[in-house]
Amino acid sequence: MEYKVNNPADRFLVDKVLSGDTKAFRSIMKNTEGLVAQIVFKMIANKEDRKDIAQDIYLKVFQKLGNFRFQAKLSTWIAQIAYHTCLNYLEKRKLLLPDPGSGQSHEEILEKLISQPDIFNNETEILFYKKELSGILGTEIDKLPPVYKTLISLYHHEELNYTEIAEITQLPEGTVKSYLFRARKTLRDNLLLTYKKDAL
Amino acid sequence: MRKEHLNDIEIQQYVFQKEDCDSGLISHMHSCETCRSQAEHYTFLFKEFSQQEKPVFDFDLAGIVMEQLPQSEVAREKTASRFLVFSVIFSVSALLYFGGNQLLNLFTTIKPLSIGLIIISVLGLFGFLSADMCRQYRARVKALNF
Repeated sequence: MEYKVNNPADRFLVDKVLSGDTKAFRSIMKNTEGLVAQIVFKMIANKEDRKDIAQDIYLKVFQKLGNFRFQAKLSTWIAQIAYHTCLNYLEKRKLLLPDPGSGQSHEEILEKLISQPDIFNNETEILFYKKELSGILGTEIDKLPPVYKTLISLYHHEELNYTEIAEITQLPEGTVKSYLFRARKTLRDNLLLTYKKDAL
Repeated sequence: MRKEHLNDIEIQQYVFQKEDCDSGLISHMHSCETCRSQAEHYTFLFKEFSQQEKPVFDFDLAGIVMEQLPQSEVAREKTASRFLVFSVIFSVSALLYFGGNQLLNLFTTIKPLSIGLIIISVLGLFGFLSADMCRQYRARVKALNF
């Protein structure tokens, strides 16, 4: 995705806030609240904590705005603060990535299911699957680890590219790609597993 | 063309980064129903995902945050400016009302050389203040530009 790092509107708003016009900060919030909400909702499960963290994010943005050097988009920089604020919260609760050693039996079941030649073997099943999918999808996404949920949402919902996601998460681009591959696979596998369980 | 099935990473690459796929991978995908079916799962799943509603905060985040920010310096400056303008208008009006005649006499009796000196002093002061404002503005822009 092509984007302008030096967005004149961002520069104008930042300049206004730095010269003492705190009301201009409301416009910055309005422009970036969607992206911040996406990160906070995917990283933080508790509703009350979300409220505190969202406030904390924008207060940090206000305090650090003088350090912003326009080397990235303003929204990317704010998303970076949002992501790391949530990450710090999760680190305190040890709720980050899944334990790699814990999914053995799950993997075995999945391999059996996926190796079946055709899971959706007739049109009725496909239609049923499509109808149910939307509901099941939300539930299954919620079950993913917070970092996976966030990466999937940033890529597929916010339509950010790997470079922007790498800037936000401050992870190497290769790691972002690798996490995304794993996240998509986990989501797909979990969905197939749920579908199969429901169908039985 | 490749004979063996694509692995999951290759299937995802075909679905989400087709432009980076080599021709062997693409031609295998065209001819292999099993791999194509797996790719369709991903396509369908993430098409559905991208259509889901985006989350929004169910409270007035901007309102809550704005309340916690220090009062706008611009707002304070505006209040101070209004007070200053009002005070000046009030003082000038009072001066004209109570001592208008004496003021007129002052200007008719004062020497043109003194009036010139006063005007030059005022213009000098105005020039100095303007230059200082410009310097402050440039310093802020420089800080932004890094």
